[in-house]
Amino acid sequence: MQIRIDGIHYIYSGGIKALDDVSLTIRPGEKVALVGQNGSGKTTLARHLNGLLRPDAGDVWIGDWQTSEHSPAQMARRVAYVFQNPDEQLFHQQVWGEVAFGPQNLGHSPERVRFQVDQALDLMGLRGASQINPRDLGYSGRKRVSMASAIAMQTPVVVFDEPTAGLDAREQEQLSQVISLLHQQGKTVLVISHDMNFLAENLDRFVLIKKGQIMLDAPAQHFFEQDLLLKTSALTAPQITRLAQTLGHIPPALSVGHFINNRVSGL
Amino acid sequence: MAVIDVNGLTYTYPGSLSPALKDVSFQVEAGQLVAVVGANGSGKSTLCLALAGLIPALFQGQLQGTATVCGMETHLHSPGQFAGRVGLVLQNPGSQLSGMRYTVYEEVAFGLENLGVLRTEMPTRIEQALQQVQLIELRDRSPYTLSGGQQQRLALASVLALKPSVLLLDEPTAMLDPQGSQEIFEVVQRLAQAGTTVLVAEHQLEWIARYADRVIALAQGELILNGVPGDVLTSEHLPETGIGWLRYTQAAALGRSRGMWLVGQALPTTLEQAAEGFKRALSGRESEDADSD
Repeated sequence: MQIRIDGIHYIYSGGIKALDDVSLTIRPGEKVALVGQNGSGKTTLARHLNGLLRPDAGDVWIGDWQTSEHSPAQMARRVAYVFQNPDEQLFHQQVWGEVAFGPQNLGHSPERVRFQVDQALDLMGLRGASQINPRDLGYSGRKRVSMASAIAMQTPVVVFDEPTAGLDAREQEQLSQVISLLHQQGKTVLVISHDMNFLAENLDRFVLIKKGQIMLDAPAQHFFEQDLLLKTSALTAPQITRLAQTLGHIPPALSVGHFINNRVSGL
Repeated sequence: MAVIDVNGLTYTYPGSLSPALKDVSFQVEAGQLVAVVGANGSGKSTLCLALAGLIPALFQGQLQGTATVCGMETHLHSPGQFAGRVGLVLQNPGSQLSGMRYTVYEEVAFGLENLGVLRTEMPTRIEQALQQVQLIELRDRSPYTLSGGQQQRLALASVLALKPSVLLLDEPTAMLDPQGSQEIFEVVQRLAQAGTTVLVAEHQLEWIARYADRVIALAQGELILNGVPGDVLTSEHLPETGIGWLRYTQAAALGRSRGMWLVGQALPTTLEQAAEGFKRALSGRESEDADSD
């Protein structure tokens, strides 16, 4: 489903200007990374997608729905949002009930709810924890419950806000598989993160936001060649890309596999 | 004398069947910056809580062995006796904010007020702490209007202002941008150089490779590795425990199996080591090719 953001502005009460004339179109099935330093406006922009925030000026369209004309509850049919802090979205006494809450509210049949919930729990490695209180899980466990809750909604758009924060390498690998699966299902995936290693290995298009404005929108390879802009935006290229750049590889690799294959082929 | 001395520490949370820490022993000298790595659930956060004197005092549970911090055995002293000497920054900044202060500045003052620091001394301490974490310009903002990363810096500033002799940080950079993470580690390194003992649980191995004096690896509550970053971060046991390797290390190990990294060359943990190693292996191959011509 296409996302179209047209010249939006947003100012928080207290006068903090968070978004300043942002326009962005994301085609159905794209995997987009939204990057920028802390406080740049990434989360504010993402929260406009599911109608949690509405622009002071400009429009946000998810497919043929304009967010200003639909409630956040309606928008939840099209956009699932995984919060940066899982504790902002957990409230049920059991993991299963937590993950089922969204699909149940969409009015699905009990059989369909069960199928979607079990599938999401399997994907996030939580099947064995389905009867546990989410609050008894550690931070990463709660984070995976919040991701399962979003996945179970089976929306055409999924937004992850800092999904790798607090996840170890094994859990990050699991998240990679989830993103890949969502992509195969034709869903549009937007990931906000500072983890450039993870982003370069899993996302295709990079959008850099700085002081509420889009400064660069480019494919991953081209994005990490903009040294000066990355530096002034408090970002650094992924480890493997920096290594490839130091060794003079053109274009620099984005993953360990690319790096070794480029060297084998003499690039 | 070690500032942190952990001896056969085993701890089980109330109601849990298996211990969160199993027979853990290690020492940390004054001014050392020690990183703790481990998959989630490996016991990193529990270790931080134990060293801050909160386990067993606040959490109850079963404790065997001892943890001595600043000369005080944790199970013989109250958390209040550790406050001011041992600073703990929690993983989730939302759990650390007092919820009782309207501005960033007042939030940092909160801990100082509770420790009874002189009013005349407070402004200098607060401003210095806010400057260290680059939050001074946001001093009049409400803590709840800050981004996740800014809240994480605020939680750290609130602890830095207390000037603890031991600083325990539980994933302090999880929500920070790369520049913010580097700034935090530079602050922490400066503190360590000035004598503060620092123990930091961290997933981002690149910072550990660059800044830590020593690394401890935990797996399912057990201490499995304890050594310098170059040894621990390239250990073959690390990927097995879900911690993984740096991309530099991964590239060199994969390169070694394809003849692109010299077999006798140690695996790298920094960009400089990786670049140097790949260049050396390439020049070795080129001179072999020239000889065979």
